[in-house]
Amino acid sequence: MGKNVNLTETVNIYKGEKKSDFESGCFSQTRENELICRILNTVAAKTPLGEHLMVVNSYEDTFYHAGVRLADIFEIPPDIVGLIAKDSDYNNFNFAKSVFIDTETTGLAGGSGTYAFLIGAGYFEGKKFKLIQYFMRDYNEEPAVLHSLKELLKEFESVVSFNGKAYDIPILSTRFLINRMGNPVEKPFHLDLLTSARRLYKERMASVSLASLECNLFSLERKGDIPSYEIPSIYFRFLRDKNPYPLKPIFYHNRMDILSLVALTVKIAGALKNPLCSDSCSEQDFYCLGRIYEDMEIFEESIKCYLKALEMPGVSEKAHFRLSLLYKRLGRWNEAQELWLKMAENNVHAEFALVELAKVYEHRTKDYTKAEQVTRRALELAYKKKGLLGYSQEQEIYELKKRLARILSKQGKPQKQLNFFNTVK
Amino acid sequence: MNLEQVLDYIKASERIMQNVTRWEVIPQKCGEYENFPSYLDEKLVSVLNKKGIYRLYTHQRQALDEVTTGKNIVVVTPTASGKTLCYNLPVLNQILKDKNARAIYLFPTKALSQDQVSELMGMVDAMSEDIKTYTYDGDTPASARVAIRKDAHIVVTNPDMLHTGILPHHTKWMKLFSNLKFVVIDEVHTYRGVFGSHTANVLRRLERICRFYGSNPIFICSSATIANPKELAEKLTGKSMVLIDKNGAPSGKKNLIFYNPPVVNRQLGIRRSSILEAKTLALIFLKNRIQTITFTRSRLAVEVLLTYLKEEMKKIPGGAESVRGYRGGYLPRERREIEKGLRDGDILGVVSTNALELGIDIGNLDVSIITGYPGSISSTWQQAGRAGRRTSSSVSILVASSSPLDQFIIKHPDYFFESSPENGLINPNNLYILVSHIKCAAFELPFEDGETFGNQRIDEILAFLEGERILRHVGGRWHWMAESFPADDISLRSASPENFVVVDITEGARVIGEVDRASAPMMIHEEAIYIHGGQQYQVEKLDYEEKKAYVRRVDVDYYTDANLAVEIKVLEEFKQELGRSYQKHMGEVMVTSLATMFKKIKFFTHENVGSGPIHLPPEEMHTTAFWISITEDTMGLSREELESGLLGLCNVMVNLAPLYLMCDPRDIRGVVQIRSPFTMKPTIYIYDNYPGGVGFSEKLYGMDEMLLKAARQVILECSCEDGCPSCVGPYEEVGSGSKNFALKIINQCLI
Repeated sequence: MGKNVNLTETVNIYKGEKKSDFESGCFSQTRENELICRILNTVAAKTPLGEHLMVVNSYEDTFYHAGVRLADIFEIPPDIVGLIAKDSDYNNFNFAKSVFIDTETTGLAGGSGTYAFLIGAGYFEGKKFKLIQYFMRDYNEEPAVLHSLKELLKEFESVVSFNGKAYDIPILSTRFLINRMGNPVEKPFHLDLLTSARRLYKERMASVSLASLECNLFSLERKGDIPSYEIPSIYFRFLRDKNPYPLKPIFYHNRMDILSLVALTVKIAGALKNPLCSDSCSEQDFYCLGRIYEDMEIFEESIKCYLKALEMPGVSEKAHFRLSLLYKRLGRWNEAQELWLKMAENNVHAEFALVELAKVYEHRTKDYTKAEQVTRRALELAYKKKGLLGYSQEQEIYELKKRLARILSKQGKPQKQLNFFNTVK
Repeated sequence: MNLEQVLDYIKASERIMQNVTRWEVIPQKCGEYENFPSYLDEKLVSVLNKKGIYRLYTHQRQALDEVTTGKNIVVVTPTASGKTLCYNLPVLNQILKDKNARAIYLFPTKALSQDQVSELMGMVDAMSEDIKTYTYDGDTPASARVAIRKDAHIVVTNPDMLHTGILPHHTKWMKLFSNLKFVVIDEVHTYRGVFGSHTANVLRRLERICRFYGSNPIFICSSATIANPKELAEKLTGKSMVLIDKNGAPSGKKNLIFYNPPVVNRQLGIRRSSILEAKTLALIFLKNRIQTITFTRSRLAVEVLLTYLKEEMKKIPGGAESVRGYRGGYLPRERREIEKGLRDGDILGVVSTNALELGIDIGNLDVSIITGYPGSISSTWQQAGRAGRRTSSSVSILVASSSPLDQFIIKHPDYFFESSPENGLINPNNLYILVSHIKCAAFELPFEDGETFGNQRIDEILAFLEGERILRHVGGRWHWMAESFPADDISLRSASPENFVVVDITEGARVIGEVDRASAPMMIHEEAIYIHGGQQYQVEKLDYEEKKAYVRRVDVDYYTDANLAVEIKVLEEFKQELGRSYQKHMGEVMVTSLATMFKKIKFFTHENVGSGPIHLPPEEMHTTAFWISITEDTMGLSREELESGLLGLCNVMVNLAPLYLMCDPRDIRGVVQIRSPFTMKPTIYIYDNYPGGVGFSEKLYGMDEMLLKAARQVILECSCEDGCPSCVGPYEEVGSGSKNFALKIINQCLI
């Protein structure tokens, strides 16, 4: 309610227009439009499909958003974009040919009855960043808004968004299709930063929303912002009373989201370019980075990150596990063996480590005594687990017994020693 | 013995024959055939040849011809008459000609759609053609959905999914809707009452979306035997239909036997249990290796009867495994396995609820035993139709329970054979239902000024919704102006889709079945014996919040049955009118069903060997009701006579009302209170059996006098002696003289 009171006050302060005037529809059409344009800084745009409003903002190449210079996006090396997208097809991604998109909609559920009433589109003109917001005063201006957006999109080959793959782009596609205007938003390249950020920050941050990222990475504080869930109802109220004041925070919110898209790209690129000395990468992130590098087959970087992650609470166990498998994959047996021994000793995925050691002793070093020892320990653990948890580990136990039998026969020992109670400690 | 020999044995058995109240023989019928038409693709002809089909039945040929010339059809033929070819042939033939052509198949249940996909795929594979058929329902994994939307030639789904999953996201299905040539609706007779009225509106929305994308599909419907298939299909789809009901399939001689279990206690008039009698009868066939399906009315009865049959069949090697159960709550894989076993003949006997009444393909069986009258003439014919060979004889036996309705039917077989099957009634223009779907439709595409919906003018409804700030009228269009997703708030069916899972914790933890929410308090309360596939489990813990029942395997000689107490309470009265001699009311009520206690019942003897309380929250339904109360001293009737008259009158009204409301009899319920705590008078309630109500009570409130007059006419004109299901109900239920008492009450009301 506090917000409403505030707004009423603001309304009263501005040139004496009263809230009640909006509700009673006291304004003439012209005066209403004049007020909307003045308050929201919009200009009218004429299209063959009718008129709509838009806001144009331009940011110089020295402009900083949340401590990040927007134009720094052009400093990102091409292969790093491939890492952000985790897809080497994006190595040639050209930010000069990209449009940064974010929409404000009439509902969060999606489906064909959800409209995008405000569409923000940002792009670089040289080093300058231009941000256009297309706005429909009412439903009948939708074709005009979409027409302008379609014209703009012609200039670009790729899209950058935050959760746009699942949300903004499908909604825009639906809007274009329903207005029989084709489907111009499906571009060959779409860099969805939600996916990238989730890959990188999911271990450290409880939520990987744009707000949480801004807070954790930029320490950005938005002034006069509005929670997303309030947006649809504010727009519906505007449709009825045409009072533009409550829309101001939505326009601001939308602009901030788009500027943060640029800043976030630069931040994520920084982490991926030089993980060990980047301010946008710390703690549990190293495990995530290890995974990204490993998947992209940049093994040296991956090992460096996993090594750092070994010490991090929460991801330490996983890091041990992945790193040991990576060593094994690369044939670095000594390092692998050393790690497995440490894991068996510290009870980190001990059963797995023991089995891996057994494989090494049995097949590589042919040290059957040690192989028998570690297999028996693994078996012991499996039985203990069965006893404690109450459910059976039959398959595991069966495999271990099979392994033990084979090792015993390689040593020429009788099979009856298989009995669990003969455990060599 | 073969079937004929078993029948001779039965005819010679006095013990059996003395209980038979009717033995109707429906003579053998020869098949009527026509050749494949010249326009049928050669690939289809060769696939059919491979299946041993060299010509079509007349009804299949007619279906193919009508659809090919652009007619909408409704096919009414009995089970196992090659009904699926009636729609698969025209659809596949068109897709073979034009690979862009698309079709939607709608089935009322998920189980049916699974079955259809496997059959269709079989045909497509045999042609080695790239025709993609997919089911799209709640179980379809998200990863498969994108491919289905783009590539599926035939999308097999149900009305609920069309309503919430497909239509509101139509832009993702552009390819389907732009090229939609056919909508196939199987089992049209199941779309009755509220469910049917909802579905009719979903189809209006479908048509609207098709129009937007420039397609105009042909509707191919099929129905079981009901009184008005053409009318129902036309109202459901809004299209005029060609009725195809001349069955060309041959059928062997069919024996339909009515069987009344013998009286075991003459003083109390108690008859032997229908389950035990069904067991005896089924065993005669099973022991002679004759494939038999036994229908029961409840899931509990399936398991009890199955236990008995397994026990007896154990004596034959492999016998116990050859008898299976089939009911809601079995997991899909288990069901598929049983269906296949029946088709292949590996399974000799199956005990089922009406889950197998619909068109799931289980092949043709020799014998069907119907334990308890299924409640309607159409259902009885459907269940009897599960037995029926093309050439040899088949048998269906209706075993009556001791319920009044069963006893009436079994003692008056003429009533059954001479009455026509029930009407399928729907009212797509029911205001409540219509408004819900106009909301969904406006969400899908804005309405244009002057646009109609199912040929209805809807300007007033649109203006109303604008007033409620749900729609916005601007630029000649009505746009959705709310954050919500309207389809999510509107359920096509009254039953909640929620399920409890049953987890066996004997060893580890394994999900063995599911129980729908409404039945959970009865079937899986703590200490209940839950029987699944004849194996007993005891419920150790029911986690009501998490909807899980933990059970452990046991072997005991009893099963449990719970008592359900249903109560009606008036919450608020909206309207009332004090008439001269009676009062009518309309308002909101709460119907509470509470499982109060359970009984332990010994197998075979059905003795009561113990009981226990059930502590579970009641299931509550808020709905609207119409009720009338009369003065207590009606015509000097005694309390018993008054009750009998009220019950009778309530039954007539509930039987009659669906005709005026255009709903299914199950959509409303009647309750009688001899002294209502609300009105303090003898009262008859009729309520909408649907959460929130769908406007029936309001309509009844406005037609009270007409309804009473119609009731009087029905009672006066009914030729029965002392009550029957067509008027006040069987006298066993309402008591002797009910017709007379009901008439007295009516006359007093209508002074």
